[in-house]
Formats: sequence, C-alpha cells, structure tokens
Amino acid sequence: MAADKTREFNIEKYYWLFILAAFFLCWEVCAKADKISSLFFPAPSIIIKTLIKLIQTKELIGHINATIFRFVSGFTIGAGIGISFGLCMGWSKFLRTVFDPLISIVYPMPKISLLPIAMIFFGIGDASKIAIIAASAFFPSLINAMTGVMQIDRIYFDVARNYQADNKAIFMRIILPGSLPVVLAGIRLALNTSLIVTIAVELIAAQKGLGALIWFAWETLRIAELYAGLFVIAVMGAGFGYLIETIKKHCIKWQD
Amino acid sequence: MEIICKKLFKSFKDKKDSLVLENINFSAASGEFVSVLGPSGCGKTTLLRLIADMVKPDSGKIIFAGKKEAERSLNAMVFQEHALFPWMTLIDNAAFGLEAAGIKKKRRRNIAQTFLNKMGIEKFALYYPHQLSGGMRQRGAIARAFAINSYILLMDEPFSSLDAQTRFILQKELLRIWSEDKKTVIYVTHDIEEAILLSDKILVMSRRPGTIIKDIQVNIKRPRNLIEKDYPEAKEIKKDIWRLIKQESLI
Ligand SMILES: Nc1ncnc2c1ncn2[C@@H]1O[C@H](COP(=O)(O)OP(=O)(O)O)[C@@H](O)[C@H]1O
Ligand SMILES: [Mg+2]
Repeated sequence: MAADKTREFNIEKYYWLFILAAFFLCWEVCAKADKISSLFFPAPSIIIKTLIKLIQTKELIGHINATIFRFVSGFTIGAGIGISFGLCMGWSKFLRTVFDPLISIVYPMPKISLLPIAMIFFGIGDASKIAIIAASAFFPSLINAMTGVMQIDRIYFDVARNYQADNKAIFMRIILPGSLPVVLAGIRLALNTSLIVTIAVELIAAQKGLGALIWFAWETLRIAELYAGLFVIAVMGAGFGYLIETIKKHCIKWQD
Repeated sequence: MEIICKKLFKSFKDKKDSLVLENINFSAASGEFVSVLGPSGCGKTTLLRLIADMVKPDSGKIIFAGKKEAERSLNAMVFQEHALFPWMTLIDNAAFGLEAAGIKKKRRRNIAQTFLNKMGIEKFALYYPHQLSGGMRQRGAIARAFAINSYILLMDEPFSSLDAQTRFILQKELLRIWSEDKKTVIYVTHDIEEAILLSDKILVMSRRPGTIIKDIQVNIKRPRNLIEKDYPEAKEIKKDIWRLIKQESLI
C-alpha cells in the first residue's frame, strides 16, 4: 500500500516546475519584445549563453571554488563547534547557566558587522572571512543542539540511569539520537545563514567568489553575468538543502 | 532477593507541605509479588524511585538481602508508558540494559531475542516503537526489564494506559514469565482487581504524605481466575480495601 502510494505519479508535486517555467517564459517574451529593459533584465536565453561562456572560459569554476572553500570550511568549523558545545550545554545545567546569557547577547548581532574586527585578528585574507562564516553557522547550530537535548523526555534518562548506563552510553544512545532531528534542523538553518554571510563577505571584500563575481558584474554593468552568478548561488543553496533532507531521511527512520 | 524498607521519609524541597512519604515500613520476601496500591499523587512512583536508588530518602534505610550477592543490576524498572527509546528498534530496546552492562552485540541480541520470543513479539524485532501498539510497546518494556536478569523487578503502573483486553492478556503473560524465575516484584497500581489478581501481598497507601495503612496477604491459589470464578477471599480483600479508601477520603 505505502509503496504504491510513493510510486504513484502525483502531478501536484510538479506544479512548482510549471510556475517557474511560466515565469521564465514570460520574462523571455517580454525581454525579446522590449517590454522590459534588456539592460537590467536580459532575456533568460542570454543569461544561459553567458553562463555557458563563463563555464567554458573556466572563469566561473574559479569563483565557485573560492565560494565553496570559504563556505564549507567556515560552516564545518562553526557548525562542528556549535553542535558539540550545544549538546554539552543541553546536557549540563551548569554550562547553560554560565553561557546562556552570553549567547543571548552575541547571537542577535549581525555577524557580518564583525568583519572589520575579524580582519584585525585574522588579516584581510580568507581567514577573517571564514571566521565570520563560522560565527554565523555557530549560533543556530548551538542553539538547536541545546534545544534538541533539552526536549528529550526525562524518562529516557531515568531508564538509562536505571540500567546503569555510563555517560558514554548516555551520550551515544540517548543524547545523540534523541537530539538528531532538532540538530539537523539547526544544520539546515546554519547552512542558509552561512551561505548568506559567505556571499555578503564576498560582496564586500573579495576578489574571487560568486559574491565578488556579482559585484564586479554590477559595477561593470555586465548584468547577464550578474544573473548567471545568482543562478549558481540559488542552485548551490537548493543543493545543500537537498543534501540535508536526504541525510535526514536516512538517519531518522524512527519518526512518523 | 529480599527488600526491607525501614522508616523511610522523603520530601521534595519545593513547597512548604513537601513531605511525600512518611514512615514507610515493609518488607518483600525473595520471590514475592508485592503490589503497592494508593491514590495518585500519594508517592508510589517516588517509593519505586527510592528502591531503584534514583533518589535518596531523607532518612530511613532500604536493605537488600539474599543468598546471592547481586552482581551488577540490582533492579529493573518498567515505567508507566512511552519508556521505550523511540530511536531504537524493538530488539535494541530490549537489549539496552545488556548493552549498558557491556555485553557484546551478538550475545545481547540473542538474549534480547529470547525475551521477545517469551513476550510473543519476536516478529516485530526490527520495528520502531512508533510502529507498534501500546500493548506491544509495554511487552517490549517488560522484555527489556527481564533481559538483564535482575533479582528485583519494579513496575510503575505498567498497564494503566492499555485497554482492558490488552491489560488482561499482559497481566497473564507477566505472571507466566515471573513464575519462571520468581523475581521479587514491587508492582505499583491503583487498580484493586489488578492488585488482587497479581499479588502475594498488597500494601495499601494513604494519601499524600503517603504511608502504608495496611498490609494485606493474598492467599488465593494461583493461577487465579477472577473473571470466571468467585473467590470468597478476593471479595473479603476488596471490601477491606474499599473500607480503607472510604476512611481515607473522610480525613
Ligand atoms: N521531583 C519532584 N519534585 C517535586 N515534587 C515531586 C517530585 N516528584 C514527585 N513530586 C510530588 O510528590 C508527590 C508524589 O508523586 P508520585 O510519587 O509521582 O505519586 P504517584 O506515583 O503515587 O502518583 C506528588 O504530589 C508530586 O507532585
Ligand atoms: Mg506515579
């Protein structure tokens, strides 16, 4: 029964594709008919041609690499530390009491505004950018990991204690799996936030990267390149989101 | 293993009238099935948690005595409900106590499988709790408790959330598996019939602060069939308990 249902072709699932196609078709027609400014809204076909050209000249791949390098390293560092620390904070009331107020102060601060300070510490190269990206991934990861542990029903800890599980067993068999759904939601949030921050630091202060590509394209009025850059960013964001969803499906078989 | 509770007092430091258990004295002989019967909020769960050493009494003593020294797990608790880990399959749940004791995967799976068999849920070994009915989950919880082979079994209203039919079946299964190796059981309930069906002895508790107001021996031959047969002793006990409850509610 259930297997049949998933295999069944459900047209409603693909409506979004039609809407997207209609949007671009409309854009194409309007641009070709000169109803909209072809300088600021070049036709999608021209954007695609530009994209292909950027790929062929190997220019795009350099920008993508720079962006992915910063994004992945910043995200991994920030989320890694954030999740580890968040799990500990969820577990230990003492750590929560000490660090919760500090986190509430720093968390709402737009991390991008700390870029100048980061540059004082880490120089104007990639290190300061990665630090800012890491900071932006750190907080959502931490807060969700902490919440993830705190929402685990107390009774599971009681059971574990009753069976005399040691701390390692409690961590591996209760804290980790019990918090995983919320941790993954935090990772998803952190991915979005740190992708925004990655592009933002590149807009401000980079020679390479998709953010830099967009900004140079804007300054030199190569608007088609600007759209090509946006397109790649959109695909990247969606790709990482899809990755997380896939991981979630594989790791969490125990929820309805 | 024999359990002896002597002058147990327990309070929680929240409100001014915080005494929960007041001067609890009783003993459960080795292999005895003892029910604790009392209104909700009277401290039954707290009493079990004291025996399980999950909380400490303000004063008083709990003594465990027996021929053999308990190796490791002194007791196994079956909780009210929802106490199977939702992220583990049924067999991993049943094997959890053994895993915590450091027993190798293959061996603990074998043992857990045996107890799933005994509880009649071997077919669902690889299911997650959310795929099982409440009755099957409680069978799993019982399998988990029996798998560690402790001398003492503590049960906290384990069947109270099940429908009457399932409860009836599980009571029988519990008695069957208990009769195989006669653990000492402390069984918390607020169901008089259930207490009479299961127990060798019933401890009736007062309202909070809970204290034991009566200690009733149930000398009815097992297996008992309360539904089809009339036992004069059962009637007497029921009347007795009702009288106690009435007195209690007047105070
Ligand atoms: N950890 C705790 N902190 C404060 N009060 C508690 C705690 N645990 C139980 N109590 C209180 O102790 C009383 C007895 O609780 P409990 O042992 O769960 O009763 P029962 O299981 O008989 O329903 C209740 O009034 C409850 O509110
Ligand atoms: Mg209770």
